[in-house]
Amino acid sequence: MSRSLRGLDWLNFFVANFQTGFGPFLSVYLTGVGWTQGAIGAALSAGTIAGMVSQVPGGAWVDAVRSKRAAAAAAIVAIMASALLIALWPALLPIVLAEVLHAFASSVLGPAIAALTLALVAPSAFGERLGRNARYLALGNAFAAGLMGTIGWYLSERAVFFLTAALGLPALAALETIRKEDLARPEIHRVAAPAVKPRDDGGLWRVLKDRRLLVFCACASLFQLANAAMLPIAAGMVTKRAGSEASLLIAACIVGPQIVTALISPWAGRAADGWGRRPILLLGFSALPIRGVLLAGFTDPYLIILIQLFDGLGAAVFGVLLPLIIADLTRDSGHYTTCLGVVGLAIGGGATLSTTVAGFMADHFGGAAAFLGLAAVGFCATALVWALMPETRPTTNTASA
Amino acid sequence: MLRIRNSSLKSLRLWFVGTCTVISVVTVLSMALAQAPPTARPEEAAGASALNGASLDYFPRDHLFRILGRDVLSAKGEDMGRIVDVLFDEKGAPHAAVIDFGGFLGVGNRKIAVSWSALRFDLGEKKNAIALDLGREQLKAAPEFKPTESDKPIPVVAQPQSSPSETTPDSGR
Repeated sequence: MSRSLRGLDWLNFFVANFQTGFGPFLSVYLTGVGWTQGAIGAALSAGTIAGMVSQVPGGAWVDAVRSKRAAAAAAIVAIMASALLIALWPALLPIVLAEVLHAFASSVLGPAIAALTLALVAPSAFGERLGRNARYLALGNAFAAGLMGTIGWYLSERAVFFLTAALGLPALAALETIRKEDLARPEIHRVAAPAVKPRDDGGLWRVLKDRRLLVFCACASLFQLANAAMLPIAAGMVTKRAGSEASLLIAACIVGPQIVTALISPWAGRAADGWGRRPILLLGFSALPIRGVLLAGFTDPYLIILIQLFDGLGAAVFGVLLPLIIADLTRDSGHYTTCLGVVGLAIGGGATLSTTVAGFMADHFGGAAAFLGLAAVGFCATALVWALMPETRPTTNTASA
Repeated sequence: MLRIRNSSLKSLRLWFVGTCTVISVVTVLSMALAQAPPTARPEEAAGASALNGASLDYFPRDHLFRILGRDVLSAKGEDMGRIVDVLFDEKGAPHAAVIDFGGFLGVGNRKIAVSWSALRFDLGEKKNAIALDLGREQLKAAPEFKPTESDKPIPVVAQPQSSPSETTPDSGR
């Protein structure tokens, strides 16, 4: 059992590498191989759209498939393939194909890992275990940003994608150490393998109509609407104000919050089990308006790094409580990962809109106005949690199993 | 190998002959390919008739170069980013290059247009980089180039002596 849990640790760690190369960094790579800005924009948009479209089908597929391990393995192999495709064949069609493949694989991988986690631990220990997942994911993110930044700078941008593909191997090895026997324990069998299919056909619809799920989707969407654009705009301000050390300072803006997340995630998981979901959710959400206001007020690059640490608090709470609350709402329905996909879609919409709207505000009214706008949205998100989001923790920890 | 030795001598001979054939075919093909460039003269490869009268010139590889994605270095050797676009004036002459400046892993980079006259293309020593007569300190706070803002003037940074375009109307930042 402990071997499986350690496998889950490292799976989360290595999976974190799978996102680093495919976002903004892809445009750096494609610029380097002589792509025009229009073509780069088209390829990235294809990735964004695929990322949204794939969320619900990805989650539903994980629900439907018998072996979550096989689903995770297939997703890892697909992401390795897309990284190789990008490294070896930077032409429009292969890049778009790789972006789409990566989007669908990511939409399977996240829910598959959540489902594996749910199947590995007792419901009463789920919060704490999600905290540990988030810790290793954050450590992996910090490691990936550092390593890939270094390799991109000293070797080549292409090498970053070879490295992404190579890091799929330890991820597969970690997945392999999660033993099948540990997943098939009787008390969690229903959730681990809903091969029994939804018992009644109205099941999924009933789960999706749950008011708590809709409220949480709205909260999560608003959270990302406020959150997603803050780092890019803050990093742009660092470039504007700092000297030759600007790139290092931006790296600190990215890695610093991950360290904070790694430190406090396990606590967030335990506290969500002990005190309840609502207080922790409110704590994490309230970090968002505070960060927005501080970023609007202070423009010194070193202070921006410190303010960015608040991002780690929000990310920890969000990363732990999202899968936890959805599990609270769907535990026995057999629709857990489908609902994760639904929330993922809401989050993706919020994040996409965030960069567009905040970018527009920054261009027309200045960076401070953009941050204040984002802070206002963050405040609304927090208020929405406070006003409408009920406590979802099962009344007695043992009875829910 | 064991399987081959156990089977008859005949199959071993077959293997030998087969291998020799493959090797010789590959050798002949690669020789033919190696010969190809000198034999196929450019004029013959695409004759005047195929171009319907248009003329055709060939240039050595190091005389012409692509510009998108090329690194830009300052006089002090600082990394100034990469050329991502070129802006032309009404006469069709290049007026400014857009460079993608700063950032880490694609986060926090800014696109800034610099005057074409600030670029130097003496690709003698650093064949892959273009030199820019502007430093990081001069570029970092410049207003960003926004290709989608059709109604606003385009800010272009230039060296001090060709001053008119250095400071541009504030874009609201």
